[in-house]
Amino acid sequence: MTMNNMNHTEKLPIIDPQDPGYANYPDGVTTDVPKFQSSPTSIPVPEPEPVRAPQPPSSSGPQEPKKKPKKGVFRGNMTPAYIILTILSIAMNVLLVYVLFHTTRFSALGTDKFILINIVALAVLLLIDILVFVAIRSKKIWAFIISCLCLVLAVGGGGYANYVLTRVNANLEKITSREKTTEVKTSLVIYENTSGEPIMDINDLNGRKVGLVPGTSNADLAKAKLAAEGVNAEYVEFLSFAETFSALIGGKVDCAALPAGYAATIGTEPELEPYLEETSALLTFSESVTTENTGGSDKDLTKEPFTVLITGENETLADTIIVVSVNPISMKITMTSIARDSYVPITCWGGGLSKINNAHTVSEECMISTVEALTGIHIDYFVEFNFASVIQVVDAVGGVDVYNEVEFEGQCWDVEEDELVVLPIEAGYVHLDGQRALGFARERYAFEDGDFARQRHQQAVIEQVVAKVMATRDPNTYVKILDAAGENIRTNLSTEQMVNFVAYAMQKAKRYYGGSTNPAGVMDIVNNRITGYSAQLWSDGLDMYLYIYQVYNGSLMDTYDYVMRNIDMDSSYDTPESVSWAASDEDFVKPPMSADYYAEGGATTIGGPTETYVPEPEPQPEYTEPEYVEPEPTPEPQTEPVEEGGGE
Amino acid sequence: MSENKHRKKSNAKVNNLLLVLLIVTMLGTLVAFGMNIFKIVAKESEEEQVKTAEVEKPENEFINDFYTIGHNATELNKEYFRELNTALEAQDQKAVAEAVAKCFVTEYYTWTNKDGNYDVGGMQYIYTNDQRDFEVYSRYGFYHDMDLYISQLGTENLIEVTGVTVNGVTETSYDIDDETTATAYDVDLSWTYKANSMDTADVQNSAVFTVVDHDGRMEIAAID
Repeated sequence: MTMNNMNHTEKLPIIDPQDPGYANYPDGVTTDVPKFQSSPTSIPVPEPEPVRAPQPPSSSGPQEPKKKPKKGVFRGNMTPAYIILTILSIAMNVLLVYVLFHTTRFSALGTDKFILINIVALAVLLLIDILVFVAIRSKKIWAFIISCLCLVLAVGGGGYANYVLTRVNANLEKITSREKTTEVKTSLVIYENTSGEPIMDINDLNGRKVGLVPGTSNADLAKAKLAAEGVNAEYVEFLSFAETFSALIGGKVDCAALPAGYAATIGTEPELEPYLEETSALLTFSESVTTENTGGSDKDLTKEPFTVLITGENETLADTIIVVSVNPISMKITMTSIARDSYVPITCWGGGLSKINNAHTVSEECMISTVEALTGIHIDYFVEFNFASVIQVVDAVGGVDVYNEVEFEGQCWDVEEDELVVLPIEAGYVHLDGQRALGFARERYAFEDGDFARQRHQQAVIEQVVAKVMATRDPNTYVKILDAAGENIRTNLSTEQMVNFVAYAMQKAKRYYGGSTNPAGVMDIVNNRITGYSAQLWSDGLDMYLYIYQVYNGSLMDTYDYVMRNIDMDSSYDTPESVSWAASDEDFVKPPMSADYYAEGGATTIGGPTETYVPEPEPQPEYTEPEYVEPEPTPEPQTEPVEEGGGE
Repeated sequence: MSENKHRKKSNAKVNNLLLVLLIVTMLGTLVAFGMNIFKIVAKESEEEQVKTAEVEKPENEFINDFYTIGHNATELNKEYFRELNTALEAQDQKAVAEAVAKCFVTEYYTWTNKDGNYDVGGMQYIYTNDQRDFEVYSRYGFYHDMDLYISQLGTENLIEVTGVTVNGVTETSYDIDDETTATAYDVDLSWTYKANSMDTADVQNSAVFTVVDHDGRMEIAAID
């Protein structure tokens, strides 16, 4: 009987190692019995273990030889883990594709870089996918661990990128949205010295006069509120909040519908400011108002010159008014400030004259059309900002460096506390943070040239912000600027136009000779203001003159000519001027856009009591009662006796 | 079949499905990125960018220790720059002054390779301390109406220097300011323009360039 034909049901024989046939057993059959040399007299030989033949196959069928478990491979059921891995992998792919698709709108900022980013991202994604594939297919532990780590990093990174992208797009959407929803706070203001029955609540306004500025949200809300309360008042219209306030003080109206923050704007009028403490808000209410602006031009800003109206809003008034023209070929940018007290026709009030900043209380469109009518320059776009944006944008770029002529206490603003704060601003070349930059841009009283200094400083701050934006390469700075701008800046420029122009300017800066150290130098910025003279306007309400600014027609015309040359590519050109220059000469001074003074004459006083010349009366002698003199008694007439006779 | 085996078979099916999903995802990602890259490239070619706006790094022979040739240099400019290299190697200051002036003329008075009024040529050859002043002077002088020329005539039809004649080089000195007098050379040049649609009859075609030694670097301190 051999091993091969053994019946597996037979009991296996025990083979005695002493058996002479013991050595004939096939290889592989081992015994644990050591082969000892037997010696009857020496060491006793242990009884050898019985050797059994190898196990026959079991009754359940032929068995495969047991494989040695492979090292580095999962042995258990890993399918649930692989499912999670696959889901994560798909999520990572979807997330990163989404992020890169939605950043394509910014590709103009660096086309080559964007293409490279896409290629690298694709390679990384495919690599991770292949790792996951290998991990599932081969069940290798190392592949599983590495793919887990990569997925966690990629999903985390993709999630963060998506968050930043969402933030950026949300802010851009707010900035460029044509719809603007603002909370309009309106106060019904009363004066403590108003004649008649005291006004204690809104119902006391029945039959009384309420002053308002037609076309403004405050006026519309005030009327709606009074109507809702069943109050029947008589409405008197004025051309500005200042005039309405004057009328209230002068007793022409019993109540004035004004912005809730009227104190801040009226307080800038030195003649009206003393009366503020004698007024109070009978009622203040607010409502969200949604307005829609007209879209801007669809120009290609990298090829066609364009104009922008920049307005700085303060309680619906325009504190800052700057007309900007940009020529993308010459990279010349003109900035022309218009004094907010300029006394001009307001187009949406039928050409009624008022301070130009009042046009903004009606709408941005009214502001634009008024400026266009004044300057003759068509406005393609607008950019509107407020105090908070100045502070936050300046802080986002790390502050601005300006030259301040005089040390003063700046009227700054604490955005968090939403209140005025006074901060010192030193003289000389100074570095200003956001709050101080606002104070610097608002101040006029500390400077001899008053409002002109303020205009100059506003332009300086804007130039500095632009320079800082062009010089920065930190994407975080752009995100911070958009965060600051999102809530506080509005424009009808599209995102694509802005991105394309910024990319274009940066490309030009690379080509510009001084671009590596001073990229903003690629722009030739020309500062200008519409000049004029101070005048006064009679206020019937206050029975006194209020300050206004009369613009020179000459300044308007010179500005118009200069701006038109900058934006009209069909202008006639001159032969290039021959060069005659020396380093030892005085530095070249750019010619101004308009002059400081024009001999135009013009009224310095408008309105007021009529004055006629009454000559001084001749000095009359003092009249005295004549002294009574008793008349002398009339003597009685004496009669001569008459003689008889005749004569001869 | 034991339960164990059944479970194993089921798991194997799921794993295969996961692998298929992964392959589909990879293909989808590849297509998506391909479309995105195509979109970026298509967007770039849509915007007809002026070729002269591209800044190319010049070849090594057009960079030396003191100067780098201007953007989109003309062949004449390259020829004079090679002369400048030769003069610098020979340490011949007079020859360097002459080459500097000629290079300046070919860069400053050529507009066919310019991008706009800000793109003032030859700036690197101007006296370093007064480069900004010269740039502003040029933007309001010789380069003032370049935007109108580009817009109305096209860059390719503008002035291009085709030849420079040296009328004389005289050694002199130059008072940079009250305290500084530098060794200088007056380089008298005249030049010609390419005949094209821009009328060059009254455009400047000669000048004397005072080239000074500014700390070992030859720079133009005056043009008359």
